[in-house]
Order: sequence, then C-alpha cells, then structure tokens
Amino acid sequence: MEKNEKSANKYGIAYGEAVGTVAAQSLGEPTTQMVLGSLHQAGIKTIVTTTGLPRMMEIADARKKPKSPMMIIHFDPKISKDYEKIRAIRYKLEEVRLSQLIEGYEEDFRTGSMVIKLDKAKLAVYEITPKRIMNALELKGTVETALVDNATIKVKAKRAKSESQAAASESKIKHYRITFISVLSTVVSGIPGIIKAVIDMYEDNAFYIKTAGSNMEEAMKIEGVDKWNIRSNDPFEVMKVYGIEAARNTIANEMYEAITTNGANVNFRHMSLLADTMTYAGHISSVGRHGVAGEKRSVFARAAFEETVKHFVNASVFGEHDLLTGVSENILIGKQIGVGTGRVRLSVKKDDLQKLKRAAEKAEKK
Amino acid sequence: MLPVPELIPEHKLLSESEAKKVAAKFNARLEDFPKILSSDPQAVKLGAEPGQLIEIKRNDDGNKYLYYRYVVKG
Repeated sequence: MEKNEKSANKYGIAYGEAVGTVAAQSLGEPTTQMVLGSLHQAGIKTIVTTTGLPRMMEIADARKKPKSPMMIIHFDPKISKDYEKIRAIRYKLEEVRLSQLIEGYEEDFRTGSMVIKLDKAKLAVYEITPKRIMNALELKGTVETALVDNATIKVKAKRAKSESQAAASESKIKHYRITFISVLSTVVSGIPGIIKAVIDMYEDNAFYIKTAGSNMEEAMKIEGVDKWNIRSNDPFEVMKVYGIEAARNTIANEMYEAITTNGANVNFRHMSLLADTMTYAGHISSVGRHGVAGEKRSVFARAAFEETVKHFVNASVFGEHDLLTGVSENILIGKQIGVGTGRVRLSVKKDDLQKLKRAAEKAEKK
Repeated sequence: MLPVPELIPEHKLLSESEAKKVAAKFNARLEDFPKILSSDPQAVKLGAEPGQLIEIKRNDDGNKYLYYRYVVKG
C-alpha cells in the first residue's frame, strides 16, 4: 500500500501498472488511423521525407537504411548567423559530380582520351578549380589528366592491367567506355551521400542546413559545424557516431514526429518506453520475432508469440529452463500474472516466523 | 520542437562501490540493467570496460532522472 501511494504520487502511475501494454495500445490506435498511401506531400518543401505509417514501420522494424535519410546540421554560435559563411559551407556539403560541371565533352576511342569542357560559372559557384577536378580524377588511378587551358581538361585512360597487348579492339573500346562513364560520375566536391542541402532559419535568426542523404562522420569534419549537435533520422548512423543513448533519443523523436505530423497526439513517454526497449541490449533491435520478442529469456514467452514449435523443440533439445516471471508465460500455464494486484506477494520475515512458531508452541503446551 | 532537444545526455562512469549501491537500490543484479556495448562511442570516451556501470543523466520534459547501462563486450 505504502509503495503504491509513493509510486502514484511520484510518477503518476500506480505500482504494478502494465505500462508496456498501455504504451502499445496508445501507439497502436493512432497508427491504425494513419492512411497507408499518405507517402508524399506536394508543395514547396524541398526535402521530402517519409512520414506516417511507412515511417513508423521503418523505425519499429529497425531497417538499416531509411528510405529518405536526412540530416539537420547546426553551426557554431559564432558563425550561425552569418549567411555568407553558411552558404559557403552549403556548397561544401552538397555532392557534386563532374557531369554537373561540364558544358560538353568529346571522346576519342582510337587513343582512349577525352576532352572535357568545364562550365566556368558553375566552377565559380562551387569554388572548384580545374586542378581539384584533376586531383579527384587521378585518385581513381584509372586515368591520366592534363590541363589544356583554364577550362578544358584532357583525360587519357590507362590500359587495363589484366588485358594483354593483343587484346581485341572491341574489348578496348568497352574498357574506354566504362572508364569515361566513371570519369563523368566522379564526385568532385562535397560529401558522398548528400544529394541536396538547403539552408533554413530558426526563429532566433540562427541558420541551419537540412540535407537529403545522411553522412554524419564526414559532416563532423567540416569546420564551423557544431560537431555534437547533428541530427540524423537514421538511428543506426547515430548509434555508430554518437552512441546508443543518442540512438534511443533519435528513435523516440522520430516516432514522435511521424505520429504528430499526422495530427494524432500521443504522450511522448509511450515512445520513449518503446525506444528504451528497442535499445535495451546495447544495440538497436527491431520490434518482432527477430528483435525484442525473439530476444526474450523465457521459452514460453517466445513460444506464445510466434513459431511455437521451433522454440519448444529447441528448448527441449538444449535443456532451457523458465522461471515463469513474465506475463505471457503465466497466462499460458494459467497462473495469476505479475501485473497490478497480481504483483503483490505475501512475505514474512524469518525472525517473525520463528517468533510465531514459538508462540504457537507455547499455546499448545498450555 | 522535438521532445528530446539534447541528443547526447551526460554519461558518467561509476566506481565498483557506487555500482553496488545502485544495484542494491533496485534490488537487481548488475547484469539485469540495460546494456551498453564497450565499443559504443560514449563508453570508449569514458574508457569503460565490460562489467562496469554507466550512469546517464536523462531529461524528461525538464524532470531530470538517472538511467543506468551495464557495459558488455561488443
């Protein structure tokens, strides 16, 4: 009784309350109301992210790569209000391929070389010099580069190593073609994986950058970025870079966003409970038979969920034991479950028991 | 506005005696606490080794509370 009152006063819940079940119901009901098809919204939003039910499923299933990865990058307070500096960083972020920077190109299959004409205006915008492009190309190791004039580059393909001198001219052309294509798709500047970067502003005039595509490790290396305040919607990436606690917060936050953008209102603590459960083991486990439900210690609890026979057979082969402490195993064997009033157990102190015994013995003698 | 604005809460490595006190408070063994891998960036930062307990200062809508994670190998 005392414990119940204490618990109710401090946390607003009674002792022994089935918080997990309540959380499941509170999350489950609004999720059924979400429309399956509400995948994208049209409008001025430049970066479209998955929302609604598909997003909820993505988080709960703990999928390794989200459908629309996204990052929000914050900056040092010193430069966060300086638009020019933020804009310069924006161009450093966005992935730029060589094909985006050219006016045109000519291929010569006889000599295996190609002349690329660069777009000067675009080079100026991204602050890229032809030399930098040449360096990026040389790094690939398959081509040699030479500068013709300040906006034209000549690229010569190296011979494939495995091919002998007498290789057929047909395969030579194929080799040149493959090389040229890979030359044009070389990432010249920016962070690989970041397709788009958009500048936005908070109410206090501080700028932040929203990106389509996520690569926290590389974004952290850029000068001026607030290293420990990058937000990604990929819990696995957050776990790798910031740790499991940050991943837990990301899961809870993302779930909250997915539900509230659909108009429903669910108390955040339900989601934080689910996020806690998903990160209990130190890594992110999915909700379902491969994750949370499959990692349960009790044989009965696992068997009651899915793949009953498999679990019973394995348990009998390997001699598992069950302490019958959970809810579903007690339902299975027809015992009272350890929830609410069922959680209360009668216990007697050892010393008191002996006193009672002595008293009873005395009464008998009389 | 997101419910948890601060992504990385404060982590603190507990000594053996502190860890025992915490375990006694919750009437549980250390292994029963939620886990954190020893390869986790925050665990590496603290130099935590398997078998130790990490205290995390969480923030729930302005209410501060403590959470614990037991370091396991991984």
